[in-house]
Amino acid sequence: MKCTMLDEPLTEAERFPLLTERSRARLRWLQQHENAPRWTYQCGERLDAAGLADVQAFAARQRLERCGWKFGQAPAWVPDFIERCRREVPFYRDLLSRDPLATCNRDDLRREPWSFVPDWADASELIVFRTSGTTGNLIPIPAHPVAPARYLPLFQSALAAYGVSLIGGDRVSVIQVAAQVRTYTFASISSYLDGAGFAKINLNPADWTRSDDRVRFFDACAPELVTGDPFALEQLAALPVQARPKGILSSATLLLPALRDRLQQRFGCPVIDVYSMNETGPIAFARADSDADEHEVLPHNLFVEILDESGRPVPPGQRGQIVVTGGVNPFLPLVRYGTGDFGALSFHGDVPRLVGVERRRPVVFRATDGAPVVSISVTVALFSLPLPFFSLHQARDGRLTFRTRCDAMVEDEVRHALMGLFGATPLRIEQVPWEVAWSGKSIQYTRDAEDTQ
Amino acid sequence: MSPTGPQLNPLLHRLANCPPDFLLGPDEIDVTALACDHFRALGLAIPDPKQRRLLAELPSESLRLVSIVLWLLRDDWFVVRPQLAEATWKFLQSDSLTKLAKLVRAEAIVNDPDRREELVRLCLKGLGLYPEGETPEYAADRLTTLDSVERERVIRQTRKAEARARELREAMARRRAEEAAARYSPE
Repeated sequence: MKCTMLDEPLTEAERFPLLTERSRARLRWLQQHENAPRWTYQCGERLDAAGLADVQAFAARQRLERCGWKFGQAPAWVPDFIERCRREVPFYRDLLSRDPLATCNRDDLRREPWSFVPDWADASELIVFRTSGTTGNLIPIPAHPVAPARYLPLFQSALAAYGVSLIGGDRVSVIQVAAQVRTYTFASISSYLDGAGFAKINLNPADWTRSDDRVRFFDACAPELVTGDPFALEQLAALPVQARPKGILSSATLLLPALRDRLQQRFGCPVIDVYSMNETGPIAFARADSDADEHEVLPHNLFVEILDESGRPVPPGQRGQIVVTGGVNPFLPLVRYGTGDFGALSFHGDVPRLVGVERRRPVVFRATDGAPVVSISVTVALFSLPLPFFSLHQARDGRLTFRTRCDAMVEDEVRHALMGLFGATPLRIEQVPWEVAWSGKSIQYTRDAEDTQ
Repeated sequence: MSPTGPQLNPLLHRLANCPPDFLLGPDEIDVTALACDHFRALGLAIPDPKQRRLLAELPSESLRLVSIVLWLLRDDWFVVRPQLAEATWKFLQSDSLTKLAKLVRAEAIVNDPDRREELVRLCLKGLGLYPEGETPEYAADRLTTLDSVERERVIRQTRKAEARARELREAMARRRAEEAAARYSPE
């Protein structure tokens, strides 16, 4: 009986334990706005007073404790954190007793996600996010409700580096835009932002009643901050919206600098690429002071290492797998968690930056003359082109297929850039139909030889 | 031969000071060679190839305890008693040592006072001895206590871990967990 009771649908009071008269009015306004989309989901912040206090304390630490260390010297909190995980987390109790320097990855999480939850965790507080695994199946990620709320102080840090601050309170502070065939959309509020509104909307016209609802609703919300993946942001830019956010955060896939510049011009605000994962939360953000592909490590409680194939840390400048310790989610503490992404570290004083982050294992293509072309070189060669997404595939016979969605002029530039890398290698550029583009493409590199592995 | 063995404390002390090399896995040290060294130290011929092979084929966790036992038995008290060699060889391959190896990690044998005492007492029992200053009854009682404490602790911990994993699996499957909480950006 107890289980059935616990599995009753949530009430509004449970979704929003800290709802006030003012924030309830803001929530109703979002839910019932005449131009609002057909909301597909109900989802709240789940934060109670203790949760809010936790997020505020996290925010204070994020403001005061700069993320930083020197190569070869982990920050002072790391040994204690690892020892606590070894004592309190079933997965690490076994793993770190066998090998104190062991790493783990998504496969470990897939096998026994619950074994990452600390002994002290209250199971009734547990929520679950899903992330796609390497084979396309969804891995459930155990989380505490403070985990998603802790993103906000991290976003504030990134925005502060661009001179932007969020006011919150009696307004809509954040809109997350998606551009997919189907996705969850919902209206919510943020107690951390003093009851300000938050909504996730899908720009797919099928989600809206009238054709101009998207523009009217977005302009009525006039959010301080817009988040989204590069494709969704590009779709938003193409709409005649008038509202001017103070900042835009792009995540999920790499934001090419040319698209960033175009978005900045369109909206007149900083557009910041955030490197983030479901398991870790935000890891790093692109700085304004660097033209190179550099992302500064963002959370004060995240330690990032670059490891070679045998699990040994490599010095700054050398590429390897990005491995993290710490994180925003108290129910998924990470100790040397391999992200499956690749990059190098560089230090600006004590402040670590990730250089050339490649959000999957590198692929080595071959030009007709046999010369190897590493996937990161392709990404760099396309930096100056405003592509919302693309994929490059090399067939067994060497032929290249590049798939994207762009105008004829940009397509010419793509061809030119790829010829610069691949010489006379046969190349076909395919324009992806809109219905495929809506399914949410990312940057993908594949080779036939690897597909068959 | 008198079944009165050495005093317990010097052996406990010796075990606590086991050099880290003896804790290495069988991939890193040659346990059979260690055993042969032991026989040479006793002034005896080394075991024949067939016997050596039987030892080498023990599971790796058993071999890790074998090297620790060999360190323990290099105490002077044993080195001057080559008549214990045959019992020693049997003990190294005994069920009691194999079972202990399955339950307890080699590091714990050296670092945990109760496990140290358990190994020393198990070892003396395997050689047909009991500690000097104790009666055979007391020695047997004390070993039973140490053994049962460990077994119960392991069972209790396993049950607790299984119940906890079940609790969390169920919690993760609930609709209210699946609904999650609002996230502010895509990943």
